[in-house]
Amino acid sequence: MRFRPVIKIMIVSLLVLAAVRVFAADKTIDRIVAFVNDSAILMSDLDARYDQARKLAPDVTRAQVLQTMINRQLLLAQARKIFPEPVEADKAIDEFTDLKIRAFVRIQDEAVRNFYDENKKQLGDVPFDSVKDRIERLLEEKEINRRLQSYLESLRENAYIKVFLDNTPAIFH
Amino acid sequence: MRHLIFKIFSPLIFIFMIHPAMLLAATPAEVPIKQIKVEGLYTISGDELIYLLCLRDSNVIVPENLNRGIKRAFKKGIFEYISVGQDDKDPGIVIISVREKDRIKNIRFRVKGASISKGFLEDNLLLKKRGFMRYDLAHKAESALKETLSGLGYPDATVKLTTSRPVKAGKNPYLITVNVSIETGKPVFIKKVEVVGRPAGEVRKYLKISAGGVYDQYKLRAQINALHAYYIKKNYLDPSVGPYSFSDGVLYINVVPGQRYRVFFYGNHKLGEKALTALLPFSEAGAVRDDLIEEAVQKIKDAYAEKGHPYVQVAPVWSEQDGADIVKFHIFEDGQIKVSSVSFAGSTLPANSLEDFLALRKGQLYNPDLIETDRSNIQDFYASLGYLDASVPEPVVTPVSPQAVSITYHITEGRKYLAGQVDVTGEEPALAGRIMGLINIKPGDIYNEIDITNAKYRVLEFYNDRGYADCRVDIKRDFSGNNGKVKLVYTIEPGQKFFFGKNVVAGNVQTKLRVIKRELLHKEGDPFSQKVLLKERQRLYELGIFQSVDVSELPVYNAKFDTVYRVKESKPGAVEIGAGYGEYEKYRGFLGLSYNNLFGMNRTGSATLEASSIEKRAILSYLEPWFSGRELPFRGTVLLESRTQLNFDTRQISYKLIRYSGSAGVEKKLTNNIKGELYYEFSLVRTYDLVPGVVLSREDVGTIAISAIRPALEYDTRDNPFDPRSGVLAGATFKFASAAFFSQTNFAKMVLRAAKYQAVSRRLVVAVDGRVGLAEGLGQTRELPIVERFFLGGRDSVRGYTQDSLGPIAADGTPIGGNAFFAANLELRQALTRSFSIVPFLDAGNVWPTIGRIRALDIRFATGLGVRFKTPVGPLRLDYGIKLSRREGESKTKIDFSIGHAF
Repeated sequence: MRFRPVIKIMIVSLLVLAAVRVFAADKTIDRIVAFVNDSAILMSDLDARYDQARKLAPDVTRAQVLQTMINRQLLLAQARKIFPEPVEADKAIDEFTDLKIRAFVRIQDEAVRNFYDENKKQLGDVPFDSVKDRIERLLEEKEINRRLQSYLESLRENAYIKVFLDNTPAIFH
Repeated sequence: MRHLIFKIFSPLIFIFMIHPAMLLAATPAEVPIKQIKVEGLYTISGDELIYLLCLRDSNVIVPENLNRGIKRAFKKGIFEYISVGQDDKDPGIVIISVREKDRIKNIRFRVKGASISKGFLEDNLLLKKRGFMRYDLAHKAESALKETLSGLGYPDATVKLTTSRPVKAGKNPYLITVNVSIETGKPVFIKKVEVVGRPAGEVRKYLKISAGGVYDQYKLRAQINALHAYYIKKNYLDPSVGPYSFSDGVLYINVVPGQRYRVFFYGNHKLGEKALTALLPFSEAGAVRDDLIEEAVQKIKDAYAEKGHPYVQVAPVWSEQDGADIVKFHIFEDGQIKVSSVSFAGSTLPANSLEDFLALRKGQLYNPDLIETDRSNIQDFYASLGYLDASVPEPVVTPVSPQAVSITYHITEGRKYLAGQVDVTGEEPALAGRIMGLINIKPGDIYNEIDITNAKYRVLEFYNDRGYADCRVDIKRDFSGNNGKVKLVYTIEPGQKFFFGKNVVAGNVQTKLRVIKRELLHKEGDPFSQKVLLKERQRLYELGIFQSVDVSELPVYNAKFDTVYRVKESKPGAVEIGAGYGEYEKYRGFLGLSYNNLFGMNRTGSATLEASSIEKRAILSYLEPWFSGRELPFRGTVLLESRTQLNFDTRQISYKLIRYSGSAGVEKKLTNNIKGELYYEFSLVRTYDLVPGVVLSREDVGTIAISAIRPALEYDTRDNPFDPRSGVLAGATFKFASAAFFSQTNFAKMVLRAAKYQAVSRRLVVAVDGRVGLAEGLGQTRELPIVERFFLGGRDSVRGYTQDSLGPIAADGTPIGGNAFFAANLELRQALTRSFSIVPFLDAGNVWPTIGRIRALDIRFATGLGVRFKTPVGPLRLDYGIKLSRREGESKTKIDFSIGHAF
């Protein structure tokens, strides 16, 4: 009689599973591949982005492209609080990152000088003044990326995100 | 055996659990849609989902529309997955598969160890009943609850969260139960409490936590806050209670009250110490400093200036005594100064028209702080009359006596500008006349910036309402003419025309979709208008079943805006219970139950039970707001009543009555202010144990059936039905009982009423009300049955008199009612504070046996004074009435207590 609970669990599982049908093997036209809070990302969107991305980086995977779309959605949701419609989505994101991140990035002269000293040979021993602005821009972009990454992580922590790229949920019927 | 079971079930589990490889999106075969199958959908109808997905908009699948449709459906908020595909064998069959978000139907707590209330656990669990299950938050929820329990004094508590799903076929599989298993472990006890910084005895009143108790940090923090508040109240500048620490069973609490301050005022006669103390910034700033003392002095001076003492001197003295800051304010009050006259030099306008814009007028208290506002108001007034170049410098204030000043404005009016030619460009030619009508500025009109700008907004609103959401209207003003006429050119850029797309309704768990949809005022394809959305939002709020309604648009496509209506439902049920005491009824009580969203259709059902020493009543009521598919409220009521009528003086029974009554009818709002009603009423009334004098007709004895129709009309412009400050309430109610409706009695009754409310100042409302009732027996009926006769007197009619005591009386003194009445009331509702007001009143009225016996000289009067205390459902009312037409044997006065205004 020790196995009675096991039988019970198995029967319950069977009843639940019998009510569940795996997503039908029909010809899918479109479906949700991920959602971020109250916004859905569809397979058709992902396909379009993936095709674009491959032209720039042939090795990029669909999963990587999907992650960038999720990040974009997270940023767009924040950007829309300050730049609502009809401001275009890309413009809203740019303006928002400028306001939220770029505006706070300041590169010290000392950091520019250090970078120059450390990479003088790779830079071809050109005079400091001739590359100073380019180094400053490079360091600025690096810092912006770092901060953006950290900001996105904080947004992800508080968001409800689910991905159905390689898996689809069971359907009750 | 176990192995055998596994062998049997494992392949099944595998078949059901396995997921196919990722399915790529495919271009749909362009075949007409023959059939649409929906699977996995439980919460909403398939039709709603298909509508949101646009699958019936054309007979083939358009990928772009489908993409938008899936995103639109996702905004509904209930889905986590949606997929649309075609059947492999027959592409004409479209298959929609959805997975809804799991919703928490129940949360079950199983607590081992200490006894902790379910309410506390529910409040502190991150996941909420009726909310969506966030599996990603489950672990966080466990940790947070564990931390809470640790704070309660159970640091070894364990929390385990699991979910279970209904397994019965037909049950909504997305309604899950969250099971929370808690083992509290042993509590941590406090062995000793060490208060650092103050003697323990001093703080004992607030820090009640003691040795032997559980180390409950929630209680501790509440006590720390209470002690902090106590120190602030006692004028400690920056008290510090805490931090606290706990080690080896000893609780250490730091208490540093900090510096104390005391304030003294000398020479203040016009302003009290309490009012002056309230102006001081020391407590808020947590310090006494020179700049704060200066600020205090200025605030005191300003307060005096407001009272007409602009030249008060305030000398502060700051010292220290026994470790406390002592601040003394010596106030040298001057006499009160009033404005003796105001004059306007250089003005061609009547002085009184300018004075209307002044705060400092003749006879007012002189406050120099108001001069700039007055000057600016006059300047604006001149500008509004076309005097754009008018100059109004600061006025000259001349003392005419120690208690009075005169004020003189020296005004240079300059040229008066008028509107010249008014042109409009950019409008559709067919609309030219309409636009000019909206602008409504004609050549020769006074040039007024406010009128010119308002005209622009009227044109903008007109275009916005027609779907031109981005419309721009610019105004060019040409002052170049030498005749003082300004040419105006309104340039309209309508921009793109937008339309309404589809509607997404989200958040309605109980409420049916059609209840929300029937309140919407637009159809798909109508011109997009924010004004329409605002009205719709208001209509949804007015249903009374939502605590919030949020309306937003999705990004535009093909010049269309989809609209999302996100609602949050209120709790539909309410229980009301009350008790009271009346002079006539003695003890009385009621119990009311109501539910305002029956079947999710916004139907209201209610049951009320009322009982007193002389009356028992049960009322069942039902309201259908959309009768037969139209916005036509239908109401049905069933009443069961048992009543004993007593003689007011002797309390002997005059008669007893049992009534079974039912009514049904419709109400219709004819305009914003006018409402019509038509009801049918059927009553079975049994009257018995009557004293002989009460019987007027055969209908007064035994059981009688009264069958009647009751049409009514009401006109209501009151600003607030519970506590009106303005508006009119007027109405006429008729009642016809006839054998034609199988009634055993025939009569016609009419009651007319009119009430007017007018605020004459911020605190005073004058309210006046008049009512007339006339009734006549028809056919064989001479006298109306006693339940249909008019009675008057008491808390809602003529106060000062006993309930229903006016008019004809039987030999034993029992009122028997009559066929005609008149009542009038006048109230002066004077607010004393935000909640309290006093109401002197004058009431008049009487009841006559028949219309022919109405005599004006019979009208009886009462006066008195009432007190009101404001509550959200109307004022609590206490009225002390004095009879002005007292008869021999009657009491002089009477006190009434009730809820709501008398009229």
